[in-house]
Parts: sequence; C-alpha cells; structure tokens
Amino acid sequence: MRNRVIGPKSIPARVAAAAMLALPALAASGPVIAQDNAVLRFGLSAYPPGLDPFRHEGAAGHDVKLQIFRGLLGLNGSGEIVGELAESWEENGTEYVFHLRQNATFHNGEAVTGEDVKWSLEQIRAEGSTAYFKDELQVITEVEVIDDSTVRIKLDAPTPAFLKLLATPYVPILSREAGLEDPVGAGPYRITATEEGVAIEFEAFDDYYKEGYPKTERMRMIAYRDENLRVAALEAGDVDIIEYVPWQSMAKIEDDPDLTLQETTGPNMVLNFNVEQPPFDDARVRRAVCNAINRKDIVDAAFYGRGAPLEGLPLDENSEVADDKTQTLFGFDMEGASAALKDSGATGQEVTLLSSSTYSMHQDTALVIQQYLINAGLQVTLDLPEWGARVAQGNEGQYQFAVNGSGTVVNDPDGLTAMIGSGTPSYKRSYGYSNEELDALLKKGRHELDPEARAAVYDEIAQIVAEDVPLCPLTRRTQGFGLRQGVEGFHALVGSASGYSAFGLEAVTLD
Amino acid sequence: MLSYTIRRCVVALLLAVSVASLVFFALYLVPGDPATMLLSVGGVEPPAAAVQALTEELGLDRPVLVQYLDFLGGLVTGNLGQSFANGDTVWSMIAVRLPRTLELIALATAISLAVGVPAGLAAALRQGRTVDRLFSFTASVQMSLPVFVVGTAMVYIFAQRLGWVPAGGYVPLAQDPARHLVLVLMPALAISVGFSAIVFRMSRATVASVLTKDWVRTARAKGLAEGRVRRWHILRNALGPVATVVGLEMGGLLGGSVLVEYVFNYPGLSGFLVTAIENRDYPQIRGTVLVIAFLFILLNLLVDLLYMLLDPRVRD
Amino acid sequence: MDKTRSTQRRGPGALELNLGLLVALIGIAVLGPMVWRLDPTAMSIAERYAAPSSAHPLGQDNFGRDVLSRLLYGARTSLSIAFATALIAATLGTAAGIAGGYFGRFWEFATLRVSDVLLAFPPILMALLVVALFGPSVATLVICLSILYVPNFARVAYGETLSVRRHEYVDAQRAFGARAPRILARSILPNIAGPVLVQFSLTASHAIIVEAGLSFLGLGVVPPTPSWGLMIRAARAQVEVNPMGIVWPSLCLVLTVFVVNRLCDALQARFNPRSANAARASRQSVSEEVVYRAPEAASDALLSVSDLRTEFLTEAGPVEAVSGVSLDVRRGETLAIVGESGSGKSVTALSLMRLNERGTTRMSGSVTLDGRELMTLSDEAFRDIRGNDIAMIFQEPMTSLNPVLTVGTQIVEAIQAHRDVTRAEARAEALRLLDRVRIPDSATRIDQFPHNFSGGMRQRVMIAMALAGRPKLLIADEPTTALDVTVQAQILELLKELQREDGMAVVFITHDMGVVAELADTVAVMYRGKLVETGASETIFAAPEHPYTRALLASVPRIGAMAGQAHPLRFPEVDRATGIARQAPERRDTVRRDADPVLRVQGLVKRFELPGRLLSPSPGRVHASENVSFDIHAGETLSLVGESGCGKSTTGRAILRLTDPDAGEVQLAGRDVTGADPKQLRALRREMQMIFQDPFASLNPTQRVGASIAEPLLIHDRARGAEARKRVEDLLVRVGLSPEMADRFPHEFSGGQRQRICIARALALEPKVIVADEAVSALDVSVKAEVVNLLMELQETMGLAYLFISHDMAVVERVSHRVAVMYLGEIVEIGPREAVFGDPQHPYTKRLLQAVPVADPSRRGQRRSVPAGDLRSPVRPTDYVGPRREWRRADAGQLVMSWEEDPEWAGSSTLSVPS
Repeated sequence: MRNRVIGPKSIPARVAAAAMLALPALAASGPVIAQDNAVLRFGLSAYPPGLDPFRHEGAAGHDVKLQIFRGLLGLNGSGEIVGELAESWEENGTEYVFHLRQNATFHNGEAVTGEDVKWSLEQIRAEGSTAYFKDELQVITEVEVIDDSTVRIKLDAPTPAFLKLLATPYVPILSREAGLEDPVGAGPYRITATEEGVAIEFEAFDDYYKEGYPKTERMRMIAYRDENLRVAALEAGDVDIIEYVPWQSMAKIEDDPDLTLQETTGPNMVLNFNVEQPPFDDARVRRAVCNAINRKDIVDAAFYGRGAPLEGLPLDENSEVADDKTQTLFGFDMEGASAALKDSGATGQEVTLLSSSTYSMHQDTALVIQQYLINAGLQVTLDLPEWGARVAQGNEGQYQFAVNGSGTVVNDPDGLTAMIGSGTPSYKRSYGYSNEELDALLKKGRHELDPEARAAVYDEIAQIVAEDVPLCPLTRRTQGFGLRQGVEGFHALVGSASGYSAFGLEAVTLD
Repeated sequence: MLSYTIRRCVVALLLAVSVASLVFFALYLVPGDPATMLLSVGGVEPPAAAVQALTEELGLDRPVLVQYLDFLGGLVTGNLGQSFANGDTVWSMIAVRLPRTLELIALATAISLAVGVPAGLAAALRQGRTVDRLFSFTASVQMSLPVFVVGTAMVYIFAQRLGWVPAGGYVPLAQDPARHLVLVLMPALAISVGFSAIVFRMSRATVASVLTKDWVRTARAKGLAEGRVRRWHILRNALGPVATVVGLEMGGLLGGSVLVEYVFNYPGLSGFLVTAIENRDYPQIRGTVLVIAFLFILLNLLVDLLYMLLDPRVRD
Repeated sequence: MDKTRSTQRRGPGALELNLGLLVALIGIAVLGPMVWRLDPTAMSIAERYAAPSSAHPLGQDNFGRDVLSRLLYGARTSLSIAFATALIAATLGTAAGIAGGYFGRFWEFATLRVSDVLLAFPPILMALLVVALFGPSVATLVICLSILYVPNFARVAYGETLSVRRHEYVDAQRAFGARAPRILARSILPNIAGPVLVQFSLTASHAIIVEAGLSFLGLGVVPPTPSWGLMIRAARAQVEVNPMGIVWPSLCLVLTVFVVNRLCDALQARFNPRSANAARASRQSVSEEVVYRAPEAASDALLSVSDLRTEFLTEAGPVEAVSGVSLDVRRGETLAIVGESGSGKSVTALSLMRLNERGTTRMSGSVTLDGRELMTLSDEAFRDIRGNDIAMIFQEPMTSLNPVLTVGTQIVEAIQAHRDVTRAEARAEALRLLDRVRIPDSATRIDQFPHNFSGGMRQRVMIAMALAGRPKLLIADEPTTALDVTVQAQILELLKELQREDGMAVVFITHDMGVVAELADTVAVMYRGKLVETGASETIFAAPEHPYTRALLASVPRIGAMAGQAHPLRFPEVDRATGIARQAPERRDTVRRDADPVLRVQGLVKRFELPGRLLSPSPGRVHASENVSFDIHAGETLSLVGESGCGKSTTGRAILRLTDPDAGEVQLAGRDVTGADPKQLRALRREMQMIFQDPFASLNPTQRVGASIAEPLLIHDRARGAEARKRVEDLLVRVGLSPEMADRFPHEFSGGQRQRICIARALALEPKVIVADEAVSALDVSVKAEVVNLLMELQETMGLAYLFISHDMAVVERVSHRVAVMYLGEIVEIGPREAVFGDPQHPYTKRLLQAVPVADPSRRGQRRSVPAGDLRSPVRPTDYVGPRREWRRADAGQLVMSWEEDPEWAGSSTLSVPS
C-alpha cells in the first residue's frame, strides 16, 4: 500500500489519530500495567471452589492448598519423592517409620508433632469423612506415635504405591489444636487476603521449615477461567506464570521471546463403553472402534499437534511398567475395523457418543472420532451436555460410549484399578464392565513389591485389555505452563504429577 | 401513593418467592448429583463413601418437600442457606459478588445515558437531517453487534495487540484505583455499545413523540427560549419511557451479563451463577436467583416510583 | 386540528429494501447449501487452516472443514432457530395476550402474572437450567427461547387488544351479536397484527444474537452442526493461527442482525402512524422558509395580514394550506375566522405565530403588528413577539398544558420569558392572573398539576398564561370546541370581559356559527385555504354574498328555529355552487302512537365502582345511569341530551347491553332484553342497532367497507355470497353512496361518508330501533346536516325509532319528537320537543338552553350569564342512597323532576324564562 497524504479535509481523522497515539502513552504512564517485582503472580485456571484440606477441589485447589498445607512427603522438580514434614523415613513392606523435621511449625506457631500426623490421618480415614483419599488410606491399620517427632504407620498389605500417595496434596498434616473448623497447616505461604472469585494473596511464612524458602516474599494467585484470557494475561504482563496453557496457544508462547513454555505430557484421553447395551457389549465392536480411529488426527485437531497418540494402557509416560508390551495394543487399521464391524453385525447401527461441550478438548476429540467411525460404518451422533450432566449420565450409565479424560492419581500402575477394575459404577469406568481375571491381576499388581514381577503382572493385564477392550485409549495430551522471561526455578512435573507442580512455587524467583 | 408502593412491594415479594420456588423444583429435575459434583471437581472420581457421607451432611437424602419447607423457613428468617461447596453462607458470597455486578451495570448505564440521551435529543430535533441519519444508522449497527463479539475484539485489540489495558479481571478499588477503573470500564464499554444504542433510540422516539404534543406548541407560543422548551417541556416528558427501558435493560443485565463476564473474566454475579449451576450448588443457585429476581423486581418498582415522580398524573 | 388520516403509500422504501435483503438472506440459507454442496462436517485434518483456494473459497478451519459451507449452513441454523422461536413465542404469546386483553378476569390475571414471573427470570439462567435439564440441542434452545419470549408477545398483544377493544367497531360487532371467536378473528387479530409483527422481527433478531451467545458459551447448538456462535467460539482461540476464522462468522452474524433490525424499524414506521409521520416529515430537509412580500397598502390596523400563503412540503410536493389571505384586525376588535375542517383557518392562526412544523413549512406574504413587519424578523426576535405582543390559546385544553409541571410554573415561565422579574414577583403575578380568570381558590390551585383541573378550568389557565405578556392580540384557536356548552358559555363570557378590560384584539378561530354570532365584530369566512368573504358580523349573517357562506349559514342549525313546527324538520338542501337553500318539505307524522312502544326502559341503573386501593375500600361509585325510564314508539325520535359525564352514552350502551345494567328492565317489542340469555340476546340484537360518534373508530380499518356492512348479515346468516353482495350494494345506495364503494377501505372515505357506511351497516338487519350515540357530533356543519337528513329520511321510509344521544341542542331541536334531559345520571325533564325547548321547567334544562350560542348576531346579549364553576361530579360515596324523586307533569306536557328540595337548585326560579 502506498502512503496517502492526508488532505486538509481530514482534520478529524488526524485528531483521532493523535488521540489514538496519546492513549497508550497515557496508559503506560499510569499505574495500570506497572509491574511489582516483589510479587509472584500466578494465573489460576479457576478460582478454587473451596479450600477443604482433604477434598479434591480441582487443579486450582491444589495450587492454593500446596502453599498453605504440606504433608509428610512431596515431589521435587524432577518428580522424585522427597521429604516435606518428614525429614527421613524407613520402610519394610507393611511398616513405615517417619522422622519429622525438628523445625517444622504450623502457621499458628505450634510445632508439628507425631500427634498431629496421627490425628490428620485419622480424620481422612474416619467414618463419614469426605476426604478424597478415604478409600486409599484404608490400607493403614495403625498409626503409632513413637515420640514427638517419630511416627510409625502399619499397613495391612505391602503397597508399593503408598509413599506416592503420601506425596500428593491429598494428605496434608494439620494442626490438631486448630482442628478442622479452621484448618492450619505448615506450608511455605500464608493467605493474607482473598477477593472471592478473583484472587488470593499470599505472604511468605517466616518459620517455614526449609531454610531460605519461599524464595519470593509475596505471591498473588489470580483466577482466569477463560483459557484465552489466561494467555492474554500472560502476554499483557498481568501474571508471571499460568497453568493449563491451551494447546492452540502453545506455539505462540514458544515463539514469543518474552515467554517460555514448559510442556510435559499429562493425563490421557480414552473412550469408555456402556457394556450392558449393544453394540458395545460385544468386545469385537469395541476393538473395531479402537482400530478405526487415527489418533494422530485427534492430537492434531483437538490438541493442535501437542501430545501423542496413546495406543496402550493409560499410564504415565514415565511409569515403571510403561514398555512396548503395555503401550502398543491398538493401531489404526480402517479396513480391519470396517470388516470387524461388518462381522459383528454392527455396521450401520446408530450409536450416540457422549462428550461434553464444557471442555473443547472433549468436544473436539468426539468430533474427530465421529468422523472416523462414520467412515468405518457406524452412524454416530453426538451428545454434548455441560459437564455436570455429562458426569451424571456417566455415573448412571446413560450413554453408549463416551469420551473421557483419564489419568492415574499418582504415577503408579495400580491407578488402572479405578479405570478397568470392577467396582461401584462411576463415569470414570466403562459402565457395567467387570472381568474377574483382570480384577485378580490388578489386585496382585497392587501388592507386588518386586518391580520385575510387578511389570510382568501388568504385561499380562495389557494382553487382556487388548483382547477384551474395557476402554479405548486415545491420546496422551500435554500440559503446559507459560512463564514470563525472568521467572526462574519452576519445573512442570510429568504425567499424573503435573497437577502437583505447585509444590515447586516456593523455589521460584523473579529477576 | 404509599398504599400503591406497599402493594407493589408485596407483589414483588410474592413474585420473587414464586421465581425461587420454581427454581427450587426445577433443580430437582436437573441431572447431576450435587455431592458427586462437589467431590469431583475437574473430573476426578470421588470415593463412593464420601459421596454418601456428603449427601447426608448436606441433607439431600431428605424428602423434597421437607427440603422445600426448610428453604421457605430459611427465607422467612432471612437465611438463604449455606453453600454446598464451602459451607459459607450463601448471602456472604452473594454480598461479595453483587457489588461488583452492580458497579458494572451502574457504569454501563451511566455511559449509555450520557451518550444515548443527548444523541437521541439531538437526532429527534433534527429529524431527517444528516446528524439524525448518521446517529440512527450508527445505533442500528451498534445494536447488531453481539456483546461477545465486541468484547472479544476489545480484548484482542487493546490488551493482546496493543497492550494498553490488562486482559480483563478485577482488582478491588482499595488495592489499585486506576486499575480497578480500567478493568470495570472495559466490560462496561462493551455493554454500552448496545445499551447506548437502545437508550438513543428510545430517547429519539419519545422526544419525537413529545415534540408533536400540544403543550410544546404552547410553550413555544409563550415565547420561551428554545433551551427552556427543550429541557423543561420536551426532555422531562421524554424521561419516563426512557427510564422504563433503562430499568428493564439494567434488570436484564443482572442475570444476563454472563457473556461479558466470561469474555472479560469479570467476577460478577452471572458468572458465579454459572459456576453454581455447574457445581449443582443448590442453595447457591436458589439464593442467587432469588436475589437477582428480587433486584429485578425492585428495579421495576423503582422505575415505577421514578415514573411517579416524573409524572404527577400517575402519582394521584 | 384536522382529523384526516393520511394513507399515503410510499414507494419502495426502507421496508421493502430490508424485506428484500432478508428474503435474500433466507434464500442464501436455503439455497446456498444446495448450490455449494460441500459437506460442512467433512474433515480433512491434513488441510487444517488451509488458505482460500478454488475448492474452498474461504479456506478451511481447524478440522479442515470448508468454511464457506459452514457459514451457509450456519445461516440455516441461525435463521431457522430465530424464526421457529419467534413463531412459537408469537403464537403462544399473542394467544395469551388476546385472551387476557379481551376476556379479562382470570385470563388477564393469568397472562400478566405468568409474564411477570417469566420476566423476572434471568434469561441466561433459564437457558442454563433448561440446557442442563435436556442437554443442549436445537430443539431445547428453541423451546427455551420461545418460553422466554412469550411474555413479550403476551404484553404487546394484551396492550394492543385492550386498545383495539375500546374501538367502536368492536362494540359495533358485538351489537350485531357476533360471538367472541369471530370478533377475535375479524376485528382484534388483524388490528393488532402490526405491533405483533414488529415484536416478531424484534424477537427474531434477539433470538439470533442469543443463539449465537449461547453457542459461544457452548450451551447452544450441538457440534458438528454449524452455527456462527460455535464458529466464533472455536475461532476465538485460534485468532493467531487463523485470523479470518473469527471475522467471517462475526460478519455474517452482524449483517443478519442488522438487516432484521432495520426491517423491524421499517415495520415500526409503517405500523406506527406517529413515527411514520415523523419519518415522512423528516424526509424533506428543506429548512423553514419565509418569504416577505411587501403589503399593497399601508394599514392603520393593529394586525395587518397581506397575501399570506403557507405551504406544507409533503412527499407529493408542496400543498398550499393557506392561499393568499389578507385581513386586518383593529385594536380591541374581535375577528372570527370561520370555516369547516381543512379550510386552513387553524393553519392561518399558526402561521401568524410561526408555529407550523419547522422544516416542512414555507410561508410568504406580510404580517405587520402595529406597523412593524413580522415576516422579516429573525426567529430570535420573533420569540419576543410570541406570548408577549401576540398570545395564543388552543382547542384542546386537556393536552395543551404540560402534564408534569404545575400550572404555576407554567405561568411563571411565561411571565419570566418576557419580563425581567424575580420568581417571587412572577408568582405573585401568576396568582393575580389566576384570579383574573376566576379560578376559585387560586392560592392552592397554583401549585397543582394540569390533571387536577377540569377542561374548563384548564382553558382558564391557558388564558391566564396568554395574558401573562399583556398581549395586544390574542389568537384563540377553537378554544371552546372541546368544552361542554355551559362551560363554553363561561369561557366566552370571560374572554369578552377580559377583552373589555384590556382593550385586547382577538382573532377567534371557530367552526361554530353560534359562537361567531355571539362574539365577533367582523367575520372572515375561509374555504379551501382561501378567504371567500370578509365583513361585519351582522352583514355576513344577514346578507351573505359568497355562495359558500350562504350554504354554510343555511346548514347551521339555529336553536329556537323550530318554534311552531309540529314535526321534526329536515335541514334545507343547499346548492353548493349557488349557495341557494331549498327548504325541506314538511314531514308527516311518523310516530306510531297506536301501537305499544317499541322500546320500553324501566328504572335502568348502571353504576361504576371506582377501583379501590390496597387496604382501602372503593372511594366511591359513578352513578352513570340512575333510575332511567322512558318509552319510544316506532317512527319516533327520542333525544337524550346533557353534558359530558351525565350518563347519556352509558344509558344507550346499557340498553343494548354493551355494558350490562345493574338494575332495571329494557323491553324491545315486548321482549325482555335485560334478562335475555346469550342466544336470545343475539336474536334481539337483530332488532336493535347502534351508530357511534367517531366515524374513524367505528369501522374496522383492516376490512373493506363492503365486508363491514355484510358482517351482520353473515353473523345472522341472513345472506351469503352474491346475495350478501347485492344487499350491501342496496344498502350503500340507500345511504347515498355508490355500490362500487364496497371494495374500498375505510381510510379512503371522508368522515361523513364513513358515518353513512355505519348507518348502512346498522340498517343491514332492518332493525326497529337505532341508538345514535352522538352520531353527527364529529361532523362538519354541512355534512352534519346531510347525515341528519338521511337519518330522518330513513325514519320516514322504514319507520325506525331513534334514541338520539347528543349534546348539540340545536340539532336535537331539529330531529326530535321528544326530548329527555339528563343530569348526573338522572333524567330531570322529559317531554315533547316543543315543550322542553319552548317551556323548560327544570333549572338545569334552562341553564343548558341558555348556554347555547345562537347563530344570530341580532340576538346577542339576550342570554343571561351562566354562573362560573365546574359541572358537578357524578361520583358518589359507595353508601350513597339517592333521595326519593318526585315527578310532576308540567303544563306543556313534559314530566319534570322536582328540584325544590335539592340544595343545588334552591333559589332557582320556578318561572320559565322567555327565550
């Protein structure tokens, strides 16, 4: 375009142009985008619905709770289990002894003692508890306070995942004195102010048990429910770190010299089936569905090329049992799938795929699957209720097959039990699915301490899954954190630990 | 006038309660169990025993009618109940959200009135001239712009591209007044795009109709200065219908600013309601709907009373 | 003001343009996908975000789907949801609104309350709940939105139905015995269709936006169905990768809504005559133009008008409303400008004040006041003349005062506009002025609002305001036309007095020759914008020269002119060209006294309870009709006279059971009307018809007049098809119209013609009794004479009995056999016309007759002055029990209610006053 000379007639245009130029200057001069370097600003994906120390209240809940509560164990920047309130520990199959840090104090100034540990664990396991780990911790038979800084925990059976469970935000140690009404923890930060639905302000806890931590004196967590705005806020410099970078924005953040993207693989996407109804009561049809989908397209379309196809058991990428035998069960074979459908008489059948409009990844995944299954010969329509109704339908089995986001709670293959084992109906499982052989193997795997023997058990499980198809693995999606230039010391954790990355916020520095 | 006001208040109260009751029963038809939803934020499966315990704790295992009577009893004592999500009283949570929404609505209304009324007057006095046509056309365009398109464009241009303003959100006034103002102004402006056009059109239409009234001719026949004719005889008579439309529009925004709040990440009442529905937080939904409905009805009442002040004929 | 309704049709305008655009959009939505046959859901992930190509002119989206076909299908989704929603909501809402508005009671309550509850619902919450309940789908969305929009339609339909129901054509249809469904279908629905249609387009445009908004939130249309809202939602996340992805659907959305909005505006302009007028006026942007033409000769008069011309610039070109009027007014003189509607007399008055509509009026000529030329003055300079040197009062006292300001404020501002005085001084002056115009208790009244004043009192306030500037000239534009005759007499009296005191000149615009004779020193007669005759008032009345003046005067009913006549007499027939009047032949006696009365009314009572407030009982009752009794024979005309609010119309309506009487008995040809069940009533209504006052409101504007006339025939199955057509033509001929007029619409007729059509309709069933409720009051004097003549002629040929309800004493004297005078709901005097007019007994009858101005300047001043004060209100306390009434027969044969005990009339002479 050539430059046009502005004639005398367009004086208003010039005034307008001048005003436009003046505006950013004005904005910049004001405190509007002023930076406060002493404060670490973290963009949450939601405002935590509550701060119950034992309940699961979403990723934003973890982010906040990990700052104010800590448990016996935690995860370091590489995802390894490290001591938090426990300085060290010994284990022998069914018995664990934890030695507490001498300098650990609660925010109310009280020292952290063995009684507090016993009391906290009892609250989780108590009758009528709504704790997320209520069932998981039933494996504990006794908590014995040896002295103020030593606790012995006895289990009813060897449980390789036990330490992993303790290194989550679900098992915080709280002050017995303070009680549950107004829980007090021993985390690196204290909440100084909350603006409901907007932001939570933190201040470093002076008597935190790790010397020199937290690195940043003050922190503000600001909620951005809308993913696009969360990115915009990072770009505009409103925040220093954001979680859940939407996949479509990852490339943009990578390309931006002012920003950094930390991307790791996280949870998985799978298909669940209602096996009490035709056509998915037939394993052949389920298998055909598994083979009819080109998972690469889901990765490309729903996740913008981020992540990887998942063709085996839905385990973490770095799971100790993730090998070829468990990870390559289903491949893309359209012809085979069409033939299999024809054989089982399912071709031309009308089926409804349940997904949810609340999350675009669920919806977009369903869209791609719909196209492939139509090609394979099934008449697929979509049912896309909002998330609440989607969960209810899943729990009650009001679906034929459904897109699901799935991950283990901790990086342990025993997490599979919740997905493919028998149990109470849940939207997390294929409705009505039960396989005695699988159940026996899952139980065996859960209590097997020897790594090699354990890996063999899960290889066997993989074979049954490939045959009976209790679920259809789809993709391994990635999770991304966006960071401003100058933010140091943050590490996004891998796989199921991805949601616990906020453990590391205490180490973050700003330049 | 007093008895009229009292009667309107009683009717308003009944109306609000019937709206809330309607919502109460409608919620029982909605799929999704609150206990499950609460324990499974972000799609993580809750333990069955925990769900059962919570169901009992929240009193959701009692018969619907008992729960309804409980709810009505709470209303009588001014108790909206406790949120399922975090046990806070519903009212305390609404009390945090409501002022934000009211501020947003008030600002949007102020902008729309400041723009719409003078423009409407100017256009009506110059019917058919260029000014009128230009304004009317602009207003039609404004009314055709959905608020989420305007808001998205604003965020993209001003925050993401130009970086002049933050990308939405909210900061309390006490914390940072300038930023607070900017953050409220953005969604308020987005609302004003359509709202001011509505005010403009109503102002133009009523002024145009008042202009044809005999008393305006009388005023001119008295030899009054044109300014006085406009202010005292034209504008005052035109304000009633404009107030009605503005009141209706403001009421609509009470529950209907959800798109704006979504686009600008503004933590107002609408967005809160959406979250409450997602979480199946019945007391929260009921309480919020009740408050919104009541405010809406109150707003209509205020408009009626304003009408009475503006028009002595209604007063008697 | 002239009451012609313009029916100008504009050429292809905004409506046609936008309708065309919308049809084009619908066409694209319907046909587009058939032409552009790419599957909008077919994915090609490899080609995601592909740039526009010949195969995909607008490129491909994140699934590699064709953007163009998605837009086209999106249009389908958007428009079909919008129209389905609007259609369902319109059907349900309109039905509810009509039911509520027409049937009232339960239906009204249900409609309004349900609407209230629905309207108090936050719409988005409603949508969320419903979506959560049924899951998102197009059907869910349509149902949910429809429910949300029902109240809007219900309210519009309710309000419009209420207003249409008040129109006399609905009453007329009921009077024929039409059942409710027919009335709803033929009268209500067609006449509320306009506003409902406007609401329809409003709803459609809103629905498009809401659908897009909900889809944007992920709660509307279910993917993969293409929807613009969904496309925006998806594209919003991909702005960096695919900027055009958000632009296309946004553009489509905005454009569609814009077209529907503009269409809605155009519809509104078409259906709302007021805004249509405004639009019409606004189309011309010619500024006000004043051309000065020097007067031919200098004049020593106070006001001298020379060759005044006023043109209105309309779409059809300039229309000259005043064509070269020249006249002089001397100091202290009263000039009456007379003429029928449309003669340009009001425009002349407004032109003198430069108060014609700005921007569309062109004036030329010369106007001098005290030798000072006014035409060349600037607007600013002229403002100082207005209200100061020349003041003006208007016809409608009810609307000429600003309702939201106290009368004090309005007078004070008039004073302060021209005099440099403080507010307090101005207020003191305003009080003096109110006293001067004889407003009782002025110190309290000054702070009241116009609606606290009666019509007469308001006109006094207007006069006080006009006097504020101590004007040299007062222009009074039909100041008493809207007032009752006794109030009119008071106002005329006041004006005369003020004029005497101040030496003010008055230009008096009127159509009432009686008022002219009463008041004017000189008369100027206008006809079609021209001044046809000017002269001293005595001269004009005694020896009119212009044929029009002669014709006009011949048609004017003069009270007292019937003295000595045995039977009612038709008006003389006037040749318009020559102005020569041919006296009508004497009528034979048409009254069938030998038979029983055809209509017998006994002790009819109708009271209206005033609505009570919460916790307070009804403040009282209007005794509209109190123990009214009379008989009418076949071939007889009984006139029911009285002033506004006296209950004469209510009595007429109660007899036809258009309102159900509270007590009393009505017998039609020996059959009971008051106790008749619906079926019997329908049968009875064949025998009894009504003609209404407003010829503009008594014909259904959406029906051809032929259909209107045929309506009663069809309802009673008297004739169908060609036979009905034949009957309609006969009827049209009978009322002096031509048969082919049956195919026209009411708006194509003048007021007189419409009234003839109404008469034809009333005659269709060959009734025995016709109730004519102010049937000629709204008509111009010459037309009035013609219609009255027609009524009388029909009585002669068909033996009709008339209940002639009127406030016009002069006409009543012409047409009546007997006269009943009503006052506050009661008949105070009833008897033969000669007796009531020649020898009135009751003080009220006397007062009424005295107040009537006589169209004869030579009898000016013979009237006794009428005491100031308002008419008494017919509102009584709920526990009011009327006194026992005594009746006595007067010498001349009339029955008179005794009044001696009534304090109101105490001291009134029982002697008759010679008139």
